[in-house]
Amino acid sequence: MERYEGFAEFVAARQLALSRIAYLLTGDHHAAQDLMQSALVRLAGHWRRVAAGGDPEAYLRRIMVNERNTWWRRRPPEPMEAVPDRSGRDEAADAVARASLMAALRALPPRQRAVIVLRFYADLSEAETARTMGCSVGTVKSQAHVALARLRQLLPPHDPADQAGAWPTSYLEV
Amino acid sequence: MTDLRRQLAGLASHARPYGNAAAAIRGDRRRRMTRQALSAATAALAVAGTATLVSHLGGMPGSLPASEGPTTIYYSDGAVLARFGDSDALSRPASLVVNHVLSEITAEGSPLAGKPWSAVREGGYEIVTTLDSRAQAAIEGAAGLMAGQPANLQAAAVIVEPGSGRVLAYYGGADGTGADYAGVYATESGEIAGFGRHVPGDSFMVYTLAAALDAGYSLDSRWLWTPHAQAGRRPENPVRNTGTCPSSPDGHSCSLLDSVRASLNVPLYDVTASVGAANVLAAARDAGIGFIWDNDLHRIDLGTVDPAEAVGGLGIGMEVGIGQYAVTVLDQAYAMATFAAGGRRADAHFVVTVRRGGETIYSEAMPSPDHPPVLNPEQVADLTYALTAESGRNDLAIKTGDWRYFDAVANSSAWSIGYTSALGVAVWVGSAGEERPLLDADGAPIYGAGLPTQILRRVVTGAQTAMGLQPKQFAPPVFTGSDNPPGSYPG
Repeated sequence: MERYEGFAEFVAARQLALSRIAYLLTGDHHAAQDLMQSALVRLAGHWRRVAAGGDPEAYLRRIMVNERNTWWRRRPPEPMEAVPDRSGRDEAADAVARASLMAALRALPPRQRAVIVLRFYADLSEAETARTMGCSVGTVKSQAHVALARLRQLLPPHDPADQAGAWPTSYLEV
Repeated sequence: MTDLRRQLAGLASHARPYGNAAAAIRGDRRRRMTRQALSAATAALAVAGTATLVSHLGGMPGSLPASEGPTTIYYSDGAVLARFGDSDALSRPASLVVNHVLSEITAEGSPLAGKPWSAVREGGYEIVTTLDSRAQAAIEGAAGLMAGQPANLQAAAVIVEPGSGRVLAYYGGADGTGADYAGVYATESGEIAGFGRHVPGDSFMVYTLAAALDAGYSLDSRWLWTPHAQAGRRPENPVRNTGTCPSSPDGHSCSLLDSVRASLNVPLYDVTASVGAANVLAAARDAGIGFIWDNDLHRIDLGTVDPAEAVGGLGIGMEVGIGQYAVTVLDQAYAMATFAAGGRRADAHFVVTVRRGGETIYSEAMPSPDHPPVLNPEQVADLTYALTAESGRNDLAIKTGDWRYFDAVANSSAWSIGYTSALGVAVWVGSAGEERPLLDADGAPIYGAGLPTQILRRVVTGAQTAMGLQPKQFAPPVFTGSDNPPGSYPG
């Protein structure tokens, strides 16, 4: 195989999804770009081996989640930019909700944040999450449990009328 | 989907796609200050995408690295020798040169100095070696003379081109990934590997003769050839001959010419003592011998160690002149090429060029850097004359070598080395594993004049015919020097 064969295609296909994970992990656009970039550089360095192994996306996720220098340091929450008007929905309310969720995510310690992003955004199984984070499945379960409890504390229910089922009341529901 | 998932998805959708980094990063001065190391690459990445990422990693700005992938090795005449990854090709005998090639192109001073060998193997290079496919076929064909011989017997042979130092053919064993019985090489970590060191026996007398001629001794000088007390030898362990002097009217003395032709240890030991063991070693080094091993098999690098220090200080004794200390087949072929070129040494080497992506990265040093000639042309003519008796031809010089297996009749090491005006050749036959008396399929002892010389003749004829080379007749002897040098008979 040529040294970087398929690399450009992979990045083109998956960069959006991976950018979003980076954004949720870091809570910040600039940091997300930095994280993606440094992870891509490392992936490129091992591309042939990783591509031959079959799952470059999982490799990239693992690099990003474990890249302490970029996002494990707590940052003061940054103001969110205005989002362009896309639909007839209540943009202001959405923006406020987003700001709250992002702030809440940022308030979580790194590993709890990672579990939330991997289990509930990337939809990885417990086992896949454990592999990505380099910890045991038991740790994934307990970190998720604690993280959800913390998020519930930090965020009000989205719709007072939607309380039941709005948030998983226990980890077992997810 | 639970509400959390939906909310996370909504949040995530506001992430900026990776490719749009440039504007955001330019707008953040604080970020630039803290991430300067990444900023140049980042800006380039954002604008040009992954192609520039890849070239940035490869150190070649603005372009994709050309043809990465397995490196290919070629014969000098264009045929493919092997491509890395092709285990069949790499198992063929010619592929034993791979270690020498990698060692040579990553040596200090090379544009690829210090490069990991794996990077060379996978870097998509095109390496043209000095090997000629016709000469290589000839050497492998000649090695076929070993078929039918006992399994423990091993042959090795090398051809070096006079005047250029190019290794034209290399046979260190049948398995290209196995033990190399023809030479040694520096590995990636700088260790010396390879199994090419063997005791040369009287084949080393070529260098003793060269040293004597250089010291002004004549082929006609006479030396005591019957056993007698000699410097540095205990009476119970005298130097012994394995033959007799072909022409000794007085029964005691033998000419230097005849002593070399008959491979007589006793007179050659005295010649060494007279010329100086350090000078014999220096003559060997100047001809091309790079490494020599002492009795304890400690390696001495003649490129860095002065012969005077090696003798006495590092355990090389007078026995150097009768070939007690091991040398490699490659180095002997190299030295033969030096004499074939009239005494002018051209650095032996394995690589002609290294190219990648249409660009030549490495080239052989041609012409070879100047080295002081080992002998002047008249002395070379005299030396060559001493070696033509064995061949029976005036265009082929041969010196055989035997080294006894302890007190046995048989040898543990048998050589045939020599040259024509077109080729320098060395052939060795010995044991593949532990040293044992060399016996052929009929149970007869193997002497240098036997199987090794058969192989050498076949190598020379085969290679010269295949390459269309016509060896020139050697210049006649001049009989330079003094008939009565110090230490000679009658004294």
